[in-house]
Amino acid sequence: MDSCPICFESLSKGACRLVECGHKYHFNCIRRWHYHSKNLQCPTCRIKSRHLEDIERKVTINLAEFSDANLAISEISAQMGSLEIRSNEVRQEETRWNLDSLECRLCGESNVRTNVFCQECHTAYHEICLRTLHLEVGDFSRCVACCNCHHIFGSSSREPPASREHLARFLTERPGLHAARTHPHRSIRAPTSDGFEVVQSWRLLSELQEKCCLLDLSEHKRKIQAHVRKVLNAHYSKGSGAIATKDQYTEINKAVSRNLYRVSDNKYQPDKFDYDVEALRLIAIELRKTG
Amino acid sequence: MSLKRITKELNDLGRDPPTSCSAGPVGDDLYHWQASIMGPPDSPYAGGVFFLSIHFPTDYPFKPPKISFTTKIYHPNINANGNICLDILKDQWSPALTISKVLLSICSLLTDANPDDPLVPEIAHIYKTDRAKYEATAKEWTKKYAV
Repeated sequence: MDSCPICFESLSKGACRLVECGHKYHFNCIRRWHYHSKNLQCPTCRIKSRHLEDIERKVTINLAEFSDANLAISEISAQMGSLEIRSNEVRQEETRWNLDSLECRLCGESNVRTNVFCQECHTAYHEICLRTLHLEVGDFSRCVACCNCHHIFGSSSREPPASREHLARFLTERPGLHAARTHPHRSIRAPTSDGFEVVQSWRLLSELQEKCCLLDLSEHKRKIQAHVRKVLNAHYSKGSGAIATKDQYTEINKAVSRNLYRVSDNKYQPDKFDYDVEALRLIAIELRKTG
Repeated sequence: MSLKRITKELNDLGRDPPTSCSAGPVGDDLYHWQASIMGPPDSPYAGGVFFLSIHFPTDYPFKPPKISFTTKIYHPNINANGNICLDILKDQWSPALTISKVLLSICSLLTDANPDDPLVPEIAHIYKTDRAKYEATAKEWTKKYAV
């Protein structure tokens, strides 16, 4: 077994490899050296290294873009510097915590652990966010690519698959869902065993879409209703006197809105309809009815 | 980490000692060593034994050890206090270097001085303009202080 050229201890645990020159060190040793040296030269051959492969965790860290991934060199190394007296286990735990708290590039959330990690550009994602995005852009292939550097994750991804509970929890917790615009089942081929739990993901995704359809519907209605209210308020404030009570206001609002939903097929289509004019016309009709 | 690594270096030095140098701790303090270098045969320092003191910083090997000559020596890159002007002891330090490797580098500095980056400009000037005079003085100092 090789030994680390920095501490001379065995590399059987915690080893990593500088990708450019292949020299191996303990992760903690080489990161501490990077902190001290302020450059990214290999201590053995002085070749400037840009990528560090953590052999145990199968993660390659892009040293040049380290700070982009919320892992500023100074931060992590300062931690390591002060961790000298603590045990190795504690130190590794802290490092792992840093990797786990990465934000998803797409939704910005870090509460739910990101489970897809691009080894090329050091970008983290939630699997579901990536897949949703792929559907949104009409890509039905089983492979998933990094949005940042277009590295294909596919079956080569060595990250563990997300559990169903994990995804379900994520779906319910995630704010501001983006709906996939296409039906997920149509073009999906049967998944092979090497990928993620693809079927589970798709099933959850279709549930998510149904939820989003409902969300969308109320969103359309809300926009139409805004026009009705605006016109109705203008009418009311003019003091034309025609609308006497609050109940009457609500009745007219409801009737006019319902009418507008129907004529515009439950979709807010401001390019097809002038909702203000339509609302004014319908309000006049309603007023005549009540009046 | 530093103490462990220093201990390992000491063991390696005992197991596989480099020719023409030796090093070991002074007393019980593992952070303070003494080293000796035999003057290289093809240099005016031949026949002399030069002593050096080595102080390890607490964050060794991330910081270089502090090494200085305790024996007086006439050399363009070594001053009267014994301080050595050598890049690997300063900004070119690497944690993959060891005391053994550094001592070998100092040996080759004795053979091939670097007058273009001098610590003592007067000696560097003589080295460049009157090599014979430099060699005679270096030999004289070696005889006087290192034999």
